[in-house]
Amino acid sequence: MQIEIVVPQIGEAVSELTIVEWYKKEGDYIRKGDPLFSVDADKSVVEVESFTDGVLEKIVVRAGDTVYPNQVVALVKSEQETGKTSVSPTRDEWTVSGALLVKETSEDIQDIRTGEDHRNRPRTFISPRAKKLLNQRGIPLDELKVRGTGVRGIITEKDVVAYLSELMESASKSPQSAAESQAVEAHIQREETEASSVFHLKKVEEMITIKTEKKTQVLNVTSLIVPLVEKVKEGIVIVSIPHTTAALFLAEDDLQLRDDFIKIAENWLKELRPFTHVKSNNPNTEAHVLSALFGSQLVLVIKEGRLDIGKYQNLLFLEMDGPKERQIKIKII
Amino acid sequence: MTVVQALREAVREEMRRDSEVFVLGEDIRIGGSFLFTLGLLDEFGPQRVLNTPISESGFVGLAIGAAIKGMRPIVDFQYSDFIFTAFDQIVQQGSKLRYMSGGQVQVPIVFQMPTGASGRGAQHANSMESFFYHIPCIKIVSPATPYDAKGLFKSAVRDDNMILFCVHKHLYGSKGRNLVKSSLSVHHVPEEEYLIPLGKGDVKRVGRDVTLVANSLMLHYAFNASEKLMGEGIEVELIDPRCIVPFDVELVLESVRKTGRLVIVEESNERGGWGAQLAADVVATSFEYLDAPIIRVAAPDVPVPFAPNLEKAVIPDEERILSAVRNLMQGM
Repeated sequence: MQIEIVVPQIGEAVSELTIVEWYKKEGDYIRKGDPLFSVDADKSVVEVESFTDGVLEKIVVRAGDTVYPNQVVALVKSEQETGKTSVSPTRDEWTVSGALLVKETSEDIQDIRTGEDHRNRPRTFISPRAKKLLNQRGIPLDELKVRGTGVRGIITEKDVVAYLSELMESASKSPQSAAESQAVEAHIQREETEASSVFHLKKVEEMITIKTEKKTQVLNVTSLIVPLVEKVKEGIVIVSIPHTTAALFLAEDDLQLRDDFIKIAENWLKELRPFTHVKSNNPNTEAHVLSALFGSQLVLVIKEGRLDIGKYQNLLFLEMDGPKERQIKIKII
Repeated sequence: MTVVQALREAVREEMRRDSEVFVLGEDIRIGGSFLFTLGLLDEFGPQRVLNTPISESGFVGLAIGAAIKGMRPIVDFQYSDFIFTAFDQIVQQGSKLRYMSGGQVQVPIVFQMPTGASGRGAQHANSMESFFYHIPCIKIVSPATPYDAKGLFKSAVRDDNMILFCVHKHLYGSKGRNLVKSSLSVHHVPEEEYLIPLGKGDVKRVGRDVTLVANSLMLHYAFNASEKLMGEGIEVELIDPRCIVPFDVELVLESVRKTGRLVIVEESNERGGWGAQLAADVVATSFEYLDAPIIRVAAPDVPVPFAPNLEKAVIPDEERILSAVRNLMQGM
């Protein structure tokens, strides 16, 4: 059985590390607990121990190279016949990262680990899953202005996702905050990259929920899809939306063009009114027809972890009957 | 095929395969109380199908002795509730001999145990999985479907440990016994031989919103509930652990990491049940994946009442599972 050795999540805030040294070479027999390699994590160099027994078959990332949490750096052949082929965060890895947290000196960790700072703040109740997502995107809890919808009013993953898509939207709408927008996108990119290592091994299907805010609106969803295919060498991704009053298509993305899309969506079929389809006082025939015309599914080729699309092509989501919560389904074959 | 038919096939096949396998218990030459041994006397004769006196401690002791000497006894209980008079034999002797002898002796026994509440009052309604869950070196199997029952029983007979094979009284489908209404309770079982390894759970329904773990009779209630929830737009991932010891925690973790929500259903009293251990394991290893508190659906800490309306109030059912999941999914 082949086991992947991955870089543990070291601390809460560290996202980029450098491998300093390999203590073992290919072909060496390693035991659980043996120091395998060391990484430079911002302000400390940390030894990472093996969480398994076996023969070090291949070192994928050499010393001196940059790595990310959960990235595969080596392959170990284990004697065990049965078991999982992937190793998701285990207790052992936790012990490693737990120990590292103590050495960690970055500010937000200090913040998390010193009780006093929290004393004067009103407490926000957030689910562990939602908090993890927030941490991965580098957003402090007190910046999160949402009302929890979960059990006992707790903030859930869904609440955070809604908040993030709002954030993304407002960042991309105002040109002056382009840098901010990039930062948000970068956060998302990183988070999805981490998720995708698990994703690739365990799932081939993913569903992303986005929230639209206007009746008619264009959203660029390319960056939501890109990280999901990053670990796929060769394949096909089917991106679809299970909706009949929204559309998904490939197009160039700039603010003027977005306005034009909105203009067309709102006015193109105007002179044919009235239509016969009226559903609960919402005459949305135009949205249905344009959804059918623009299409709601894309089949794209993945090559070497990238979407094989043109330089100016983006995946645009066109809302025509918002504001609504919408889903994007991604299936990789 | 019903569970009891599947089990009868399993025991016959194992007795044909291995001459060391024999069955003992009360009235088993006429089939035993759930007709598990029906027909065995005709095929295998009185030497391998032993009727015992009403003396659980005595015949369990006999089985332990036979197992030590290399035989593979299967002990049939009328109601598993009667096993308590043999508690010392099982806990103090059987479960510990292999350990205390440094592996010099093995005690391979399968106890066939009709388990759970079935309208017969507090002394005939214990959930055995949880009673013996605390004791090391006893494996506990609790199948819910005919297919699982057969494959697991055959593995149990071949295992070198003491095994409590707990089948809920409403699952056998024996003549004259109540059978749970569920599309999983009676179905085709392949004729070819197959084994199901002990300690491997099974995903009975795939979903992405909430993980529901339920065993034995509760699996059927959970299955029916999950069907209704699907109509409400809630996708349940339903997991049957199939074995309580060893428990397939990894399967549950994998699912919870996907759904972020966990509801555990067991028939036994809530305090100290296997569900409590599972909840602790999930929190310890996958805390950051949880998007809501872990909810347990179990019986309150009272004996099971005799009055049918009160038994219904105590034992978890489809309604309780439904409301637990709905509460957990609020705001979703």
